[in-house]
Amino acid sequence: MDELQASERVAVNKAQEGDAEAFAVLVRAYQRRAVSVAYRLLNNMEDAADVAQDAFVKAFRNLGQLEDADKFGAWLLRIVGNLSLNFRRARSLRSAVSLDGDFFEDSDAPDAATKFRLVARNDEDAEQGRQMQRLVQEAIATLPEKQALSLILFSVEGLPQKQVAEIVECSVELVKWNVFQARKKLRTLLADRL
Amino acid sequence: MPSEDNDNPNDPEFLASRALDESLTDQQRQLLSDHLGELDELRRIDALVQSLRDEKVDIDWAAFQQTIQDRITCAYDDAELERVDEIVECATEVPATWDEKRFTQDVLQLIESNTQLRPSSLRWMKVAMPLAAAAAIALMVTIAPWQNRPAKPISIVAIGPSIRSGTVPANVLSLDNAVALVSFRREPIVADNLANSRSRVSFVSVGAEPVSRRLRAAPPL
Repeated sequence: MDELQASERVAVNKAQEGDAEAFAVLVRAYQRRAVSVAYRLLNNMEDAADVAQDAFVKAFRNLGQLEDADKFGAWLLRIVGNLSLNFRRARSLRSAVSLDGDFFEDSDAPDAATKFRLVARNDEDAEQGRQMQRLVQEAIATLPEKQALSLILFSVEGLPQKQVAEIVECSVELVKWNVFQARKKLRTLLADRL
Repeated sequence: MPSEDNDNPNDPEFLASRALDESLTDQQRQLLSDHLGELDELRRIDALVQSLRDEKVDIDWAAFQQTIQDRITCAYDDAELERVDEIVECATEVPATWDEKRFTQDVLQLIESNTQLRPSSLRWMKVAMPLAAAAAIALMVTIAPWQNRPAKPISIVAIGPSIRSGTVPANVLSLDNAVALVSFRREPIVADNLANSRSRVSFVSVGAEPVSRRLRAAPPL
């Protein structure tokens, strides 16, 4: 772990000097988590990939502002979270002014992107499991921003509450509260499925 | 935010403790049962949420990385993009008195008087008015490349179709399907000024998308 952190710190320092190859190391290290977090917030893989790319580019251009190289991961995920939420707001606005969009296609469906795909790890009850996961995913995407982000980072990504607090920029207590509220809302949303 | 109230007689932990003591009232027993049911539901919710970890996100990572690399090593540097942003910002500050039609007419008259065009040529020019205007300004840029560029553009003075040719001046940033003619001068450009001065002008792409975004994606000319 320390060795990993050390190599990451070196990569961050080099990237701060404009080394694009060093930054590629960081991209490879964090790309899955970045896309995953964006996907959980946006419920659309293509949008998630775009937002995650934007986040990496923004991170590279603003690396000079990162004072502690060890915090790169949290800092990057904060950018991912903020850009995803901005995207979500803009999308809500667009769908609010669109009169016919929802009637013809569900552009937010995970299968909308043909070039991306989700892979279920286990095949047992695959279809039923996928359906349930999709319902949960859709329900998460409707949660208030901070609650959704806290739940995703803590429960889905498995990050410690302290790190979630750093990413969301709030206290650990507030993270706990947000996760609790999110669970309660999910319980209501998924009541007939439980 | 939760408040910590240790004196709450309906606190689930307190009720659980009373249950061990077998000293619950009927009402408290019902409350504890509700709490336990709630806990069970929350457990199931959490298990469902955590099951999303098994849903492995898988995309074309090589393409993903390549796009990022292309974008961060893009030929257009920050300073250039900032300049474009300034230009776009200026587009919203075009003087209300600006008469684009008159400007185009002035340029055409200027060209006509200088070259004594035949009527058929003039007709062609009228068909391709915006292109001609843009080309005339581009020509002025190419014959005065030694001048220093003033610090800040002030207005977009014309918009027309793009010219995709090898003679595009170096300070043309990107052309897609339209160009904006930008003045770096403090005073409005009129035909006479164009004829007698070596004003600095440039072109930028315009469109519905943010210009900086498009520029990043567009290949350098």
